[in-house]
Amino acid sequence: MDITVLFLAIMGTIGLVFAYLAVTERALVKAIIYSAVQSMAFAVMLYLLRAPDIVLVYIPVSVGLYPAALFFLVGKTESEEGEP
Amino acid sequence: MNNELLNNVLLTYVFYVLVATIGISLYGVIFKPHLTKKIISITIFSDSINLLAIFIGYKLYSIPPELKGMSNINEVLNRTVDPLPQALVLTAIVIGLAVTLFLIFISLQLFRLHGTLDLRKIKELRE
Amino acid sequence: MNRDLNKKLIVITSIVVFSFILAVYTNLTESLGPLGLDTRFLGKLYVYFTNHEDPRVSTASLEPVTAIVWDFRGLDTLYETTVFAMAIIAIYSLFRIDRLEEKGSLNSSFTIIPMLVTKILLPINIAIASTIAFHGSISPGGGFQAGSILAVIGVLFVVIFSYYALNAKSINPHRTLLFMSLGLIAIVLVSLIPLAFDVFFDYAYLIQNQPKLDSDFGYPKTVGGLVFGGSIGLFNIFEFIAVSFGFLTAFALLSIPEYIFKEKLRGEESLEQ
Repeated sequence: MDITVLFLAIMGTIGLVFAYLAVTERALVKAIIYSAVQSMAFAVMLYLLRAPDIVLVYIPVSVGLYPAALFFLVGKTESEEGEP
Repeated sequence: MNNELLNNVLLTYVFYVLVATIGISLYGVIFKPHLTKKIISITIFSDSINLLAIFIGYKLYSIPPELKGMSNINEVLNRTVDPLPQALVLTAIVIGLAVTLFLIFISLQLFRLHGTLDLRKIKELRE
Repeated sequence: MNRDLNKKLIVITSIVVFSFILAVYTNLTESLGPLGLDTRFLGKLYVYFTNHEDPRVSTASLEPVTAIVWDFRGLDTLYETTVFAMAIIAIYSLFRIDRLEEKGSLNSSFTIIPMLVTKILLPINIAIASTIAFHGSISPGGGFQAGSILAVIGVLFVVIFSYYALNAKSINPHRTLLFMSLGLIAIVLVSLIPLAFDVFFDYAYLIQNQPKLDSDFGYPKTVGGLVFGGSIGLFNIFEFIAVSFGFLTAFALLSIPEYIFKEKLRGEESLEQ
C-alpha cells in the first residue's frame, strides 16, 4: 500500500467532517474556523497530489484572506444565525 | 495482488469523499437563509471542485512536473503528473477569490440598507 | 409545512443521485488518471516543448506549469487578470468615499508583542514574496503566489494598526489603486511591444516570447547568468505588483469604521426626503 494514498484518505475524511461541521454550525465565528481547518486538510491533500504551484496560491488565499474578510463581515454585521 | 487492490480501493474512497463534500456544500448554499453561511458554503464548494480537477490528473508513483535538475527528459515524461489541470485551477482560484470578495462587499452594503442579513426577513421588509 | 419538506427531500435526493452517477460514471469508464492509466498526451506535449534544444519551439523557462500559464495559454491569463481588476474596481466604486483627513500614529491599543512581531514580519514577508515572484520560471512560483503572500502581511497591518495609522503613511485606497493600475499598464505594454517591433522592423506576433520560425523578435532568455524566462519573467514581476496592490485596496476599504458610511447614508436619505 502506498503511503501517499493512505494519507490522502485520512486527510479527505478530516476535510469531509469539518465541512459538515462548518455548514451546520449556528455560531458564525466557529463556522469560519471550521472552514479554515477544512482548508488546511485540503492544502495537505494538494501537496500529496504533486501540485506545488497550487499549494503556494491555496494556503495564503484560503487560510489567510478568506477568513480575514469573513471576520470583518461578521464583526460589522450579525454574528449569530437565526432560527431554521 | 493485494497491494494494487488496496490502492484502488483507497483512491476510489477519496474520490467518493470529494463528491460528498461537493454535495454538502451545495446543500449549504441552497438551504441556509443567512448570507454569511451561503458565502462560507460557496468557498467550500469552489475549493472541493478545484481539488477534484487536480485529482483527475494524478498518477500513482509519480513526480511533480519540474525540469530543473533532471537531466533525462524521458524519465520526466514517463513519470510526471498532468500539468494542464494545475494551470487551469490556478486561474480558477484567482477568479473565485475576486468574485467572492465582491460578494462580501455587496452583502455589507445590503446590511447597511436593511439592517439584517437574513434573506427571509429582507423579503418581508421589501413587501 | 408538508410542501416545504417535500421540496427539500426532492432537492436532497437529486443531489445525492447526481453525485452517485458522477462518481460511478467517471470511475468505471476508466477516464480517471489514478486507476492505472498513463498521463494524457497533451500534458506530455507541453512538458516536452517547455525546454527543447531548438530555440524556435521552446519557451525560455524550466517549469511546465508557468510556461502553460504565461506562454502556451497566455491569453487566458490576461483575461483572468482583467476579471480580477474589474472586481477590484467594482469594489472601489461601490464604497465611494472621499479622502479621509484624519491621521493616526503607529501606536495601537494592543500590547507591545503584536506590534513588534508585525513590524519584524514585514521585511521577511516582502523578501519571501519577491523571491517567489522572481524565480517563477525556475522553481514553482510566479506572480499570483507572491501577490497573495504580500496581501497577508497587508491584512495583518490593517488589523493591528488601524486604518488611520496607514493613512498617515498615505497608504489609502486611492494610492494603492494607482499602483495597481501602473502594474496593469506594464502588463499591457509587455504584450504590445512586439507590435511596435512589427511596425518598425521585421515581422512579429502579438504576445510573442521567443523567436519563432519566421520572426526574429525575442525577449532575453537569461539575465546576468540566471534563467529569466523571456517575457514570462517580466509578466511575473508586474503581475506581483498588480495583485498585491489590488488586495491591499480591498482590505483598506474593508477596515474603514462603520459610522462614516452610516453618516453618508443618513445624509443621502435626508436629501431624498
